[in-house]
Amino acid sequence: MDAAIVGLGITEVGRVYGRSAPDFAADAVRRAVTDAGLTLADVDGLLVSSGTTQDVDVSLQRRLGLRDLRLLSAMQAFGATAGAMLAHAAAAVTHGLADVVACVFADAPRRAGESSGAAYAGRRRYALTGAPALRTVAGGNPTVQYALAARRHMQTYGTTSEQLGAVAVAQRRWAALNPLAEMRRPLTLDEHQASRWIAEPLHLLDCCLVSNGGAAVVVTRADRAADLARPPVHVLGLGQGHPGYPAARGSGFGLTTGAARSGADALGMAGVRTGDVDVLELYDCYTYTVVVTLEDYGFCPKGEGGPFVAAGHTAPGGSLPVNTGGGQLSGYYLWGMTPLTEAVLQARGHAGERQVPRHDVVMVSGNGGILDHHSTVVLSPHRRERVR
Amino acid sequence: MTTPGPPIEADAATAPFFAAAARDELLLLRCKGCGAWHPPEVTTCCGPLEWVAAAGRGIVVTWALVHTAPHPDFADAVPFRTAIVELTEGPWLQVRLTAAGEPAAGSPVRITFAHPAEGASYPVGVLEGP
Repeated sequence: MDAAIVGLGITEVGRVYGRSAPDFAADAVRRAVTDAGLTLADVDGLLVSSGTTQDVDVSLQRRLGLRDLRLLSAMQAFGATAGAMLAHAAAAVTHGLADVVACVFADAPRRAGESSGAAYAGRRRYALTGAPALRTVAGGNPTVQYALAARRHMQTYGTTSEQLGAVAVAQRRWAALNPLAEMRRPLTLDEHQASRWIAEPLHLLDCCLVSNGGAAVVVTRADRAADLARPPVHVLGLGQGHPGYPAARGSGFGLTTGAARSGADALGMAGVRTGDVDVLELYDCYTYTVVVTLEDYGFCPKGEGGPFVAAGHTAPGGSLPVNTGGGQLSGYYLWGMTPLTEAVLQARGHAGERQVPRHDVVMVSGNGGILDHHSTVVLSPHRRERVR
Repeated sequence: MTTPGPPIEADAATAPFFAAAARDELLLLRCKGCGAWHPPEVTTCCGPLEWVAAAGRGIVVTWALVHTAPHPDFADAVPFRTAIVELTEGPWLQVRLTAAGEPAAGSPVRITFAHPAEGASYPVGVLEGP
């Protein structure tokens, strides 16, 4: 792989009303291209992805007035899409299928005066026919399914609600340092424990935000990257893992995830080990996913993700900074673009007050569906041969 | 007592499953090739799949106590428990637990059936004593 991220665009994000997802997407691409010191005329590849509104599609080309593209697709692996788009873009520029590829995600589920839960529930399509309807009448939905996963982890390994709360508290401390974050007021473990139940064992403060907005990155070949406006962020490693859990005896649902394969592949491609990773940006739709991903990536033994976070390692000042912008729990929720955007800022050294001193190797996760899809990206301000 | 949740219906693939549920009978899929049991959503194995009566017994794999209605038609039913049950035959089935009682991993469950006024009958779970 010989690709680098050279542009980053993040729109206004959070409770920003009255704009459509395609509008946010176009805005994000323009910002990312400008950030790179390029113009839209330089873009010859575009990869787009939608959230709940499902209306960011290949027509974004016309909205942006892009001519003669050589690469154009809408991609969907849910929370793993950002990593999947980056992999596709990196391969394309490495092999000459395109020179400058913009990858964008945008969503606009929130409306003024409506809660996050209502915003998501109102856009959910319920399966009411055939086998998938059985989950609906059992009382399942995505949050409930994550509660089932978390409960299995707790029953098997002894993970506690307080340990999940430690994830939320640590990330809120990071968010306090991030001007882009929506929730910056300090959070205590007691407040986490006192927050209402959504689906026990998950409290409200175990669940991510819901945000309107968009984010884009621009990818080009590493040799071209050196002449552009921003310090290049090299793509050193990529991986995916889609476990296809059987709904039957022997399933690892809740215990191990696609992160195990995806992380090992990405670290292997990058030629680094977990001990070389300076910053970790993990997909945190729920506090539990941080815990299980830390384990599956190998930053701690299986079952010890909860105690690892509770010991303070991932918080500001800890040995392994995790979700340094506050993540999806306290920062902003742009699916896989939340961890990826923060990773680019950290790798560049442009993360302001929250910048970690060592940022030679930055690892990023994406998680989609109910732990069904995982992607990993390893980034660095250095080319592969110069890392370590 | 009214049954909470939205009305659902069978599709062509699951018509035998829901017809059996209306008779208080649980069917699962079994492969004529290798004999493996599968949950209702599976469509492919090494051989043809056939619907076969299951014991209707299992154990709790994991559960959640649902406080925020996952569908508007559950608004009057919260909180309630939902559980993934590992049936004796091996497949997992997610069901609403209809009786009170705190489950644990491994708690025995008996499958019974809900017969809502509207829509298809479907399986629910009852925790059994230790």
